[in-house]
Formats: sequence, structure tokens, C-alpha cells
Amino acid sequence: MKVFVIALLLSMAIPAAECGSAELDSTLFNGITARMIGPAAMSGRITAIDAVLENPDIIFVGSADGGVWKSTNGGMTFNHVFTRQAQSIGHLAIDQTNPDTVWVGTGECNVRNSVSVGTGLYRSDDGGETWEPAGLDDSERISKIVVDPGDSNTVYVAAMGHLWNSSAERGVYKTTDGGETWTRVLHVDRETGCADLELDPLEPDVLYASMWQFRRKPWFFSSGGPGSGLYRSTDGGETWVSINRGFPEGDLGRIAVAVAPSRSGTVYALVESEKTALYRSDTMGQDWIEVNNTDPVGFRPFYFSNLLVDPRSHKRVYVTAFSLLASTDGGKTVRSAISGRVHPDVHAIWINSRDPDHIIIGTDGGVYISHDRTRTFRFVTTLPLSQFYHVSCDMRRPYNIYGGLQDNGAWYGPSRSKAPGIANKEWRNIGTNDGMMAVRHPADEEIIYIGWQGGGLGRFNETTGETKDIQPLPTRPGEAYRFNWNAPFALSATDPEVIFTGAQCLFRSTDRGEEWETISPDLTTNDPTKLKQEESGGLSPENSSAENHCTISSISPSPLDLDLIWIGTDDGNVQLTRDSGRSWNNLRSGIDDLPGHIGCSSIESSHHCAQVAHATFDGHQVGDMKAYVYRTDDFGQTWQNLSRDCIGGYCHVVREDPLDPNLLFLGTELGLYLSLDRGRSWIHLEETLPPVSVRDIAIHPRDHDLIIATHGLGIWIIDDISPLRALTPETFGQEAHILPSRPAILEVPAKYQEFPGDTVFHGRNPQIGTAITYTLKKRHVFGDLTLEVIDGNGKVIKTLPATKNKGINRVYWDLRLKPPEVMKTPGVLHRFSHGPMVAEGTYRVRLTKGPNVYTGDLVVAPDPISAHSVEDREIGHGAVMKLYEFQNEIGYMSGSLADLIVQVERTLTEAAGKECESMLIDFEKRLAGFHGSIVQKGKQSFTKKLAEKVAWLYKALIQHGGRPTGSQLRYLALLEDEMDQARRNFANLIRAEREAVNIALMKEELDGLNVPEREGDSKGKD
Amino acid sequence: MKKLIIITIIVSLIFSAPFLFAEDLEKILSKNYEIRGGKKKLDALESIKFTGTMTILKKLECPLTLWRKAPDKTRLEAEIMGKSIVQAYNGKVLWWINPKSGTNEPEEMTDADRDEFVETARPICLDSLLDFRRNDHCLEYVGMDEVDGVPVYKLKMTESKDKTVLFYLDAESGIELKIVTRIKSKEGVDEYESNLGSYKSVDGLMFPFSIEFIFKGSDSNRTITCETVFSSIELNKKMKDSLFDMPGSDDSAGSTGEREGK
Repeated sequence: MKVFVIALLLSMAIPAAECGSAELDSTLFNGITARMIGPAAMSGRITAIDAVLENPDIIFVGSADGGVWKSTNGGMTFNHVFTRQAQSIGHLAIDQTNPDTVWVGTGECNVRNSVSVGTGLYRSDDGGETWEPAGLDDSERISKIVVDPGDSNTVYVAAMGHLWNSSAERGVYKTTDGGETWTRVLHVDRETGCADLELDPLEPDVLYASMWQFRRKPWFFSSGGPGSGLYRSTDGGETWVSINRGFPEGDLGRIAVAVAPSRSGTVYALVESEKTALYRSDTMGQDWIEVNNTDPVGFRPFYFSNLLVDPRSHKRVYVTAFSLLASTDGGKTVRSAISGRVHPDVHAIWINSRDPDHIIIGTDGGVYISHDRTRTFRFVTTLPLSQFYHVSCDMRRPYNIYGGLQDNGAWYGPSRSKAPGIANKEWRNIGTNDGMMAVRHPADEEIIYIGWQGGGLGRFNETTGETKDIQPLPTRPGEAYRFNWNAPFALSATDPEVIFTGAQCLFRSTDRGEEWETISPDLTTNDPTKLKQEESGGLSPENSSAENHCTISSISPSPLDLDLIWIGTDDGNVQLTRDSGRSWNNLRSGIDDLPGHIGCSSIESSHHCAQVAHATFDGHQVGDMKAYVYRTDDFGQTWQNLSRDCIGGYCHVVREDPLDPNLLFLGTELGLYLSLDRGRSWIHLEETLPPVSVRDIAIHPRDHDLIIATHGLGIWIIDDISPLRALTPETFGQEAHILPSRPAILEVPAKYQEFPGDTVFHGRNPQIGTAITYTLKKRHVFGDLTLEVIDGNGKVIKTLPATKNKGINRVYWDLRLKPPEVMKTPGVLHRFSHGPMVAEGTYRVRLTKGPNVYTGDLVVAPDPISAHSVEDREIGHGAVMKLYEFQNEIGYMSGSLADLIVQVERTLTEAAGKECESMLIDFEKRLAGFHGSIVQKGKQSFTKKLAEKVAWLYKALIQHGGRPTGSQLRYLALLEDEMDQARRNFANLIRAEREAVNIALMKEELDGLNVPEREGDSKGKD
Repeated sequence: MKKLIIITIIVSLIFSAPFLFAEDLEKILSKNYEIRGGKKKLDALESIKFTGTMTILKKLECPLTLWRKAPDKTRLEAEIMGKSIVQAYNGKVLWWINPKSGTNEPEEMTDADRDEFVETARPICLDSLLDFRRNDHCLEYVGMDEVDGVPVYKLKMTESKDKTVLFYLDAESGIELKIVTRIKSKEGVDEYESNLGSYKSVDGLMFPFSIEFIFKGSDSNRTITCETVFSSIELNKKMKDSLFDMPGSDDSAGSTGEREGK
């Protein structure tokens, strides 16, 4: 990398909608960037792991909703390498013969209620750098990919197929031409997919495939049926036979299958049935013997169904389940191979076939690596795969971000850090379970409300650490509440003590959840055919609240009217009360073109007008993947359809900007969209965010940041959306235009020292300083484009490198003047890279493009949390500016003296033996002597000269925003005196004495000595 | 089938099918050479001096001067965080003065560094699009693409098994808008992206006075962004060879230390 600087300079120095209306395309918004802040503290659900056998430091990890990540250092750090495709991963496989070839099957197969969707198969031939679609686009879920160890062009894929509806692309597919063409070699029907596929590495033509009949609906999950069963092929998939002899009679469910790599013919199968058990066959599946039917083995087959046999011992079997179960006796007995320090819910496992002690597992909470066969595990702290359901923020400085995560509780963390990035340790865990919402009480900072699955609601006291469970409970015999898996709660925007939550009816508390009153009837359809939670699960019944249906899914109290509350339900109703719940109107019938089966995923009251609301609807759980977005302007009597074909993915959330009613943000399963025109057209911010599930969006009311909660890639922040509020489609028609920004805050950077190594994930901080945002009609190619900051006196104090992209550009200014003058001396102690901060006030921003000039204002404001008075800040700033100017002066003196000495030495060769020689020698001594009196010469030492004294005081003062100490101010006065003396001495040397020398040189007809003029007033000028 | 062309003169004469594509490519290259001032003039360049400022990570400003002399001599002086760094190559020796290494004395860099430098840096003004024939590099016209909504010609150059360069040339003018270099190593792929703009004519040759450089490393998710703005580009100034020699080496014997013949 040492060559990097010069190489890059050389390489560049050579001249070498309707997503969007007709005028707008999404590339205009490429300048809108978001920073990912993680966290990685709890990571997220892992679905697939593979590593290169020849170099197991190269690891690929597939995640539930965060794409594929690659490590080249044994899992110390990971890179996100699958950023433009569906982020839900079913399986991945490295071609061990050509390890640069990696196959990824999208669509997770741990088919819980919140699972995402895939878009087929992908192939990389460059180690994950680039990916090409490789077919099976409509498979939705791919459970397994198997590469023939003897022929890289032969690959088998298990397509599980659609979860929420019938589909054709299910079964086992085979290619013999590297993915160019696929042949379906095993198929049952449109309801049954392939859940697992194994190839016998000792006999690659022998394959085992498990077929699974399954279906999920919003109110029901069904596992098992006549389609399920296990099959074997001995001719590379050409023909298959059913191999169920020894399995229970009746319907089977999901089956996991694993071949013992060390003993051909030994196969294990974990078979879901009414009596789920682990089976073993030593006859290639011809006959099966039940070996273990304990509860841990048969736990939740729809969610855990994965077996692996140790590469060297056919009796050592691993079962991924709630725990990692290990058996050393062929499955007869199992023990948990993970401790309480490892997240339970294990979905993926990889064993190094050349070192079976080296095991990597993937859980609901990230990746763990063991080098001692599961005795100890190292948690991978660098995978920010956190799966948020909701997000909120507080008003602290910096503000904090709150949210709940799938199987990882509730957390909050800072939006920025004084450290170089937001570290995992800065996030605080405040709740357990499947976290949903978390909101700090707006008036009592000690209290945080926390929601979890199935309507769980708690009041967390941050001081004591206690959480009081405040979920409303039935009060009458026979009464039962149906809370959604992701049940909402909401705080009143007009009364901080009022909180709402909803089951099938709405509850209100005015005392922080101690008492609840029911303020609505059942607001849902209460359709008895959709109240099947207790019967859900199929062969493995389960009542976890995941299939609770006919429930309230969204609550939005109006910020403008205390009595007005909008409600959305998961079965499609939209309800409104305008009298605090005394009466309700079901507005569903006014939404003309919304299909009947679609549920409401979010509804939000307008910040601007009480009769306005926006809502999203989501039908993916009945197989409808389209986007549905609506708006009403008349209290829900009529609805305008804002959906557009260009919107990718089903919709989770719509947010109206609190300041600009034209500006909307939309989160879908495949990314983030914005509208500048109240939803008439949408822009996909595809360069801002990967195509990840955007579950919630918050807009910070003070800092104007857009906070994006993803279900798989953590939290992202678009800093300062103020420019978007001033943006109209017409803006892009102008040659150039400067957009307004929020006031820039003068923050004194904190001192920070820590050396944590590379295993710590750091979320990105915002850029230091402020963004200057402008638009260009087209990319600037020819001629000058300059961006300048001008102070109140009309002086240019900063020239910034203007970016030249078509559309939105954001250039950052660190709110500092240029660094002090660099002194030409080998001692570098007194050189600093930071100029002083600019003064508070209003600055002018000037963009010059050829002959045209565009301007805008930028307000620079003091840090609101500054402890210093205006007077103290001014005194401090004044002292810093004095020292800054001293350094510039000393820099000029030092440079001039060094230059003069070079001139004298050169002239001396010509003056040898002449009358002026001794005069020159004497002058050089005096120059060097004075130079040495103001700047430390030679090696570094602790003896400070004027330059070092000035620089050290400067360094001390720029690290503090207020009044210097009395001692510092008196020391500054001393330095001022020394500066005066130095100025006088310098002036005498370069004027009077130099003139005298020049007269002598003229007599000898030698060139005189010159001193460069100081370039104007160097105060802050670039 | 991709429009793959093995661009050596001999190969293009032998194979007729690629020749058709070569014709497309030739047209594009001619347009590029023309907007830049003409191949003859570019080939005749003897030296260039660039003076400007690089802003690293959107905050660190580094004044820099870069001297280049035909055929392959290079010297860079930059101030980074108040420290002066010199790096130069005289055609044989790559050396630098790097205060961060604890000394202000010039040091010869390793052979591996030199090889990497020679691999990455170009001979004077004979950049990839000008000298690919000489280097037997493989250049293909991939097709039309867009940069920022601007229609561009996309050219892909394969310099080696592990190194490719993508050129995005403005379809209207033929000038380079973006260059993406990908270098593969055992750790992964490093990507260097240069966005070029503010082109101005200097003595009849077109140069970008503004370059945004984005480095995406294979070993982390971090990217390094640098913006360079040149205040001046001077052509064919006299430069002594000693400017590029390592002080104190045999090559520098007799050097006056004067950087430019004035």
C-alpha cells in the first residue's frame, strides 16, 4: 500500500417510475448516502455457512435478511459481498474444485412468519466479487445447493418454492452446464418443495432428497402431508425411488438428511411426523431405524431442520436445533454442545473436513467459531445483521436510537460516537425475547417502553434495570385477547402520559400502563375461519402467537388532535375514531381497489392536516407481493392509490415528513423509496441502501435525520434531509442549484484513545462538519466547477472540491480554516493538521460553474450542549485565531529564512575571494542564528522555541471550546511579546541587513538576495 | 457473445470477426484521442507537472506536486497532516522520504513495491488507452452504459489475469468520465474508481482538473475517498533527471539539487 499514494495520483493524473416522474430518475438521487451504524453486538439470524477447504480462512456466511458476507481471515472480519440481490439467503456452496466459484440460493428456508423472499439462484466466478443470476427465479426459496465434487458443471439445487401460495418451481433441479440450463429431476406437486438434498461424496451419483409439503397463511401454518417423503437416486438424479421404509405410518413433515462422509451407506434422517425422531440407515436409506425421539431433537422442525455427520466418524452426528445437539453414538444419545454464552437457535453448521475440531455455527444471533470441537466458541462481533422490527429516537445530544430485534430483544445506542465509530459496546440491551418496539418516555427519561412478541409490553426503568410487565390482561371470564406477533403500541403525541396498545381492540392507559381501559370494540373482521392459532403447525402444533390473526397491526394517534386515532388491522380494516374511542368508523370500504385479503401494515396520521393519513397494505402472506400505498385527505372517506408498479417489494411502512407534506418515505421488503410529490411518483434510493427489508422509518424532529430500521442489516441514517424538503422535480431542470442545509454545529472533538484491534465492528459516524448540497442538471465534464465558502466580510475562507455528478451532490466542510502554515524544518512536532474552527454566524456558499454563479446561505451555530458562555467562546476563539496567525507568520519567516540561506550559500560559491564574502558568511550566520531562535532545528528535543511554544498552546486551545485558563492567557501574552520581538528582528534582517548585503553584491556584479512577498493576508485563505 | 478483441496489431489483422468490433473500438478510441488533443500530440509529451490539493476522507487537505518525465520518471511531493512525503521513481529505483517511518532520510523501497508501482503507474502520458497495444493488453468494447444518466461507452481492458480496468467514455465527447481498476489478490479484490471532471485544455491537450478517487479495499468494508483538484498543469517544462534520483545514490552524483532548469 506504500505505492498507493503515488500510484493513484498517476492513474488519475493521466487524461485519461414510474419510479420517478417522466423527468426524474433514481440516479439523480445517488448523492443521497446513508451510513450504516450497525449494531453487530447481537448480530442476526444465519442461514448458511461454507468455507474453502484448501484455505478455511475464506468463509462465506449467508444470513436471513442481510445477504452474503465473506471473510478472508478466518472470521475476524467480514465484507458484505452480495449487496444488489435479494438479501434473504437459503443456502450457499463453494465449488471446492474451483473455490472462486460460489453459488448462492436466495430465499430463507427457516420458514417462520417473518421470513423474507428470494429471487432465485446466483453464481460468482470471482470469489464473490460479482454475481450473475443463474436461474430458478421463481423458486422463492432454495434450501440446498450441491456441487458435484468431480464435475464443477454439474450442480444440484433443492428448490423449496413458495411459502404462501402454490408454485411450480419446486423440487430438485440439475444442471450439467454450469447453470446455463436446468432440468427438474424430482418433483411432487405445486404444494411440495425440496427441503434437503445430500450427495454421497464417496459415490457422487447417489443423492438423497427430502420433499416437504408445507404452507403458511397469516393465520395458520401447515407442515406435512401426503407430498412429504424421502427419495434416493443412484444415477445422478435421473431416477428416484421413495425410501421411507421404517418411518412412521401416515403423513410425514419436514425431513433433514445427512450422509456420513466417512462411510458410504450410512445416512441419518430427522423426520417430522406426529412422533418426530432421528433415524439412521446403514443401507443407503433402504431401511431406517429410529434412534432418538427426544424433545430436543424434534423441536420446531419448520424452523430447525439440519443434520451434519462428522467427516471422520460416522457415529458423530450434529443436529441444529434450539441448541446444537451432538451425538457420539450414532444418534442414540445427544447432548447440548453449546453453553449459555452462545445464542441458541442454531440453523447452520460447517465442519472443517480436514480438522473436525474446527466448527462454525450460525444461530439466530450470529456466527460462532470453535477450534476445540464446541468446547469453546468465539462470537463473531463484526457481522451487523441485526433484524429490527421498529425504530424510535430520543432528543438527547447526540440522539439515541431504539428498537426491537428478531430473537435479540430490545436495544438502544447512540446515533453517533465521540470515538471514530459507534462500537458494539455503546449499545445497551434493555429487553429480551423477540423485541419489537422500544420508545423512551418523552418526559421521564428514566422510562423506556418495550414491546415483544405477541403483545408483550414492559416499562423499563433504566436506573434500576427493572422491567414491569404492563401488557393488558383479560378482565372477564372467557375473555381472550388476540395480540399480533408484532403488536403495536403508541404514545400520544399530545399527552406524554397516554399510551395505547392493541389486540383485537384498542387499549389506553393514562398512568403508564398500570391501568388500561378498552376504548374500542373488536376492530377487526373477527373472521372465525382465520382464528386458527391454536390449531396451527400441522404435524408439529405450535402456538407462539406468530399466527395470531384478526388483530390490530398499527396505531397512529394524531399529533394534531388528541381525540383522533387511526387504526390498521392485519386483516385489512382501517378504523378511525375522532372522539377518543367513543365511536369508530371502519373505512375499509372506501379503499376501492385494495384486494380483500390484504392486511394493513402501517398507518400514519399526517403531521400537517388532521384529515390526512397515509397507509401501507401487505398481502405477501397470502402470496400477493405487490406494493399497496394509499392516502386519504378526507378522514378516510376516500383513498387515493399511491402504489406504482415500479415499487419493488411488499410495503411495511410509509412516513410523511413532519415539515414538508410533499415529502414521503416508503419502506418495502426490497428497499427504500421517496416521493417529492405526495406519492404521485416514487424514487427508489437503490444506491443508498441495499435491497433489504425496510421495516420502519423515523425522522428526527430536531436533527432532521432519516433513521431507517432494516430487518437484517441494522440501522441506517441519512444525515440531514433538509435539502430534500427544498427539492422539487423542477430543481433538477436548473443548470445548478444550492439546497439549504440544517444549521451546522460547531462541535469540539473529544479526546479519544483506544486500540481495539479489528474484531470490533464500528458503525459509521456522520461526516465531520456539515454537508453542502447542490444539484447539477447534468454531469460536469468540461471547465471549472468551484465551491467556496465566504464569510461575513465577503472573504473566501474555504475552497472545497466540488463533486460533479448529475443530480444531487453533497460536499462536506469540516467547519475549519485551513491548517496553519507548515514550517520548513525537519522538526515536525509543531505541525498540526487542523485549522481553527470558524466563528459562529451565517456564511455564503458559492458554486461557480463556468460563467454562472449560484449561492446559498449556511448557518454555523454553537454546540447547544456547550457549557461555555458566548463571551467565553469568543475569548477562546480569539486566542486560537491569534495563535493561528502567529503560526502562519512564523511559517512565512521560517520559509523565507531557509530560502535566503540557500541563496546565500549559492552566492558564496560565486563570491569566493571577493570583498563581499565575509559579509555573506556573517549574514548567513545571523540568518541561521535567528532561524534557530524561532524554530527548533535538527532532531526533536524538549527545548521549545517560539514556533513550538505557539504550536503547543494552539494545540491545547483548539481542543476546548471555551475560555482559556488564566495561565494560558498570560502565557499567550508572553508569546505575543516574543512574536513582536521576532517580527522586529525578522524585519531588520530581511530589510536593512539584506539591503546592505545586496549593495555589496551589486558592487561585485552579483545577483541580489530576494525574499518572497507574503501572499496577502494569510488568515484562513486557501 | 462478448465483443472480445485481442488488441495487438497482429491479432487484429489475422482475425476478421474481431476486426468488425475493432472497428467500433477504433472509432471510440479515435474520438477519445481527438477530444484529448490528438494522439500525436499526446505521444510527443515530454514532461508534465501537476500542482494541486488532495482532500482525503473529505477532511484532510494535502497539497501536492507531481512531476512526470518521459518515458517513466516520476516524483511526487505531498504534505499529509503537516508532514512532507516524497516518493520518486527514476526508471530503475523507487524511493521515498517518509517521516512516518521515523526518518527524514530517503530510503529505497523494496523490489515488490517497485514492481507494484511499475505495474500500477503508467509511462508518461501513455495511459492504458494509448499504450495498450504496446503492452499487449486485451481491450474490449463492452457496450453502452450510463454514468450518472450520461450515456457512455464502456471499455474493458484486461491487463492480466488479476487486473482489469473499465473505462467509461462520454458518448458525446469521447472523454473519460470514470475509470475503475480492479486488482485481485489472495485477500480479495481491490477496486480503484476515478471520477474525472473539470476538463480544461492545456496547450491544446485536455486534462481533468478534478478527480474524485474512491478506493474500495478487499480487506474491509471501508472505502477511502480522495478528491484532487489541480490548480495548474504545466506541459513540457524542463526537468533534470536528477530530480527523480534518490539523493546520495550513484544516479544522483553531480546533482545540484535544483529541481527544474530555469
